[in-house]
Amino acid sequence: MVEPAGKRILVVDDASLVRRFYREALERAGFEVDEALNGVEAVEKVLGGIYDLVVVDVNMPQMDGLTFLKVLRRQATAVSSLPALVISTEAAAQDAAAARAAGANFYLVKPVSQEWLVEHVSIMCGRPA
Amino acid sequence: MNEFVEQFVIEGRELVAQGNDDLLALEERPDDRERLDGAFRALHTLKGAAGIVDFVAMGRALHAAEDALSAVRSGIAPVTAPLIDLCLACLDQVGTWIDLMQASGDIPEGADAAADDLVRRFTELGSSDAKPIQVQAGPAAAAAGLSTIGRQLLEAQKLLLAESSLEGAAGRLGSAGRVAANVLRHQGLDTTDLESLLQTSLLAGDAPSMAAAIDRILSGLGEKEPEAPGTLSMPAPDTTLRVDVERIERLVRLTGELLIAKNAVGHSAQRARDGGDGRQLAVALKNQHLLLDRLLGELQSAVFSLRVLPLHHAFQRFPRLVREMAAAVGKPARLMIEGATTEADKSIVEAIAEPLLHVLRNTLDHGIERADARAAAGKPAIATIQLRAARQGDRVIVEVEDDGRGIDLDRVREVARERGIAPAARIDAMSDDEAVELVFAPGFSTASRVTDLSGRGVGMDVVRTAIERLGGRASVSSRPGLGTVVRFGLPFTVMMTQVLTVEAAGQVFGVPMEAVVETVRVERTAIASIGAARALVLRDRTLPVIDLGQALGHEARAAGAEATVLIVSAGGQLGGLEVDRLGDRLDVMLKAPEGLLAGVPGVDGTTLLGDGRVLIVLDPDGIFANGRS
Repeated sequence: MVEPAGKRILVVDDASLVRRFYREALERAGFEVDEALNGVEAVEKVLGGIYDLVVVDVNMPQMDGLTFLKVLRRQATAVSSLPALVISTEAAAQDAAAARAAGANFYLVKPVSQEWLVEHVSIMCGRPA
Repeated sequence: MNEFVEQFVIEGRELVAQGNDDLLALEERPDDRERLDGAFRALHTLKGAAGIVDFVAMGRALHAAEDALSAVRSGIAPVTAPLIDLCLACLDQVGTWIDLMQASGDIPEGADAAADDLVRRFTELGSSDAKPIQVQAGPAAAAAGLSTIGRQLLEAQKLLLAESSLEGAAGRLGSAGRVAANVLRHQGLDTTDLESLLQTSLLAGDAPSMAAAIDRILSGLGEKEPEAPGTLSMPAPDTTLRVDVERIERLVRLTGELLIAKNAVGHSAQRARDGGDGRQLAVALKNQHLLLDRLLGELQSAVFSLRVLPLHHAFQRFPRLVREMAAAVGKPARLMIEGATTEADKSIVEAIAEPLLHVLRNTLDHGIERADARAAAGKPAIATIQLRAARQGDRVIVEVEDDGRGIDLDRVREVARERGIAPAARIDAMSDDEAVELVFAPGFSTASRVTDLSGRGVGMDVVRTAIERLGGRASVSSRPGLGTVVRFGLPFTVMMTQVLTVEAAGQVFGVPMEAVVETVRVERTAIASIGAARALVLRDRTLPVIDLGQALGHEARAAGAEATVLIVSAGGQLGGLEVDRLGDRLDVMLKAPEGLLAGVPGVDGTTLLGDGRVLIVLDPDGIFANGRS
């Protein structure tokens, strides 16, 4: 099978440090990275571009990550099936359940190492090992 | 020797050898798509070659084998040991025929019987519940296994699929499917089949079946250690059933009640032996009989309810298949499914996929217009095919409706005349309702109308036969320019048929209740003779009337003042069947006619009556078809 050029990841987090941390790791691993600062921006991005995965924080101003996911999953087009990895500071089981109910495909709790992130993102995008 | 035959002998041998190899390899590795395709191609090419040398019997046998493999290819049937055996037997037979042809230079005589036998065995195979051969995960898959993260991700998708909120359901399903497929892709596993499974559930919008597919992946690729290669079972007709606890409890309760009823009968026997009052005993026995009758009835329905499955099991592959077929013929179409939760007997659900697929193929081939014609007719560019299922009493109705051009009845009549389906005069005299039924006539669709999809010579007659074998009826109706509806009326259970017993010429017969519309008593003068035929005017409709006794070769009955007429629906038409007397309604287990009765038109089957007599169950379709010709 021909492997498409690069996998595009949208990183959604209001903290610039976190975005940079993720971007660095993912770009080093060969991913293309785009960023959004909150849910509202993320909605605009996913509707306007093609991504293989969205990595999203929960607590953000304007629109939080779970609301963003609900909006995403409600879309009538194929974008609704965009895989989503939620990375949150909340470690309680009900937080993971809430993310799932919003449509998250997987849930990681911060802090997440760069290696750990790359590994999850690679598998979720279907990039050959 | 004819040069075609000469070439056929040479090429045929090669194809038989190739088919043998592929089948044997397929038995080793049932998931080997290439071998499956190879075996199918060998059979298909042989069939084509048989057609060229006019070896009809061989073509028939190979067609049956091809059908069986085709079902495997489309995921409808599993690879089973009996299937491989039978395909090999078919190739053996072909090899023998080729030897004979080489010796004599001509088509061997008496090939029909052997071909019939093979066709019959393939048919039986299709209805048997052979266990699929387990796919041994190859060394690559077993060695790679699933990483811990991969496993966790798959588990998480299962949880996501279990979410019940309606909002965003399609998005959740789609994303779970993408992630699951990506996990497999990431592991570099040969996952074509599993991915297509995911894809199918995705298109069908079916979360439970996708979760089941993920489960299969998890259990199949579970073991990472090479010394314990995991097994991964392919989607196959289940030999186990999932049953509600409630249904089991109903059985337990009924068993208890039956025990009590049984004891009561024992008690009555005791009283009879002790010289109890006969009249009282008779009353007691009668009551016990009634009770047992009721309990057995309940038991029967309880047992049948164990065997039911939602039709979804048969329908789930169709969205994808329709999409592929639509792409193949270049006619955009979408399939809308309604009533997939309608339940039917397991064997019906499993057997209906194939005929439905034929109908869908036909629809795309002949029913749906090309884009330009649709545009000219002011129809949406994307055709809509509706697949509907609903329960109606003890029947399950399955319909395929399209918004295509409808059936061109003039063309149907023309084709029927050309192919000699019926005498031209009779075809001309047919009403539109009768003429549309011609599409079900054997030989109506032939290979001369080869297209990408229906080109395998499978006509609507095969569909009707398949449905009738299930105890159902197939009919078609069409509105010119607006579309066509193909309708199957299937029994909810396959085992029992309700018949009405009737008496004619001193003999008792059964008539399937599903064919009986009503029973009437009319003045004999109301039945008019029209030439050799007789007709009855009932509520402004003129119905043909056949005297059952006469149809059976007896003398016309002595004229009485009144006639008892059974109004039956035969071949989509109403007709009257004159009988001497009406009897009871019975639930019977119908057996296909055997021995002398086999192939007798008008006989649906036989059943044993309580007193050991054989009841012949009539087929009104056959009687009226016979009466007309």
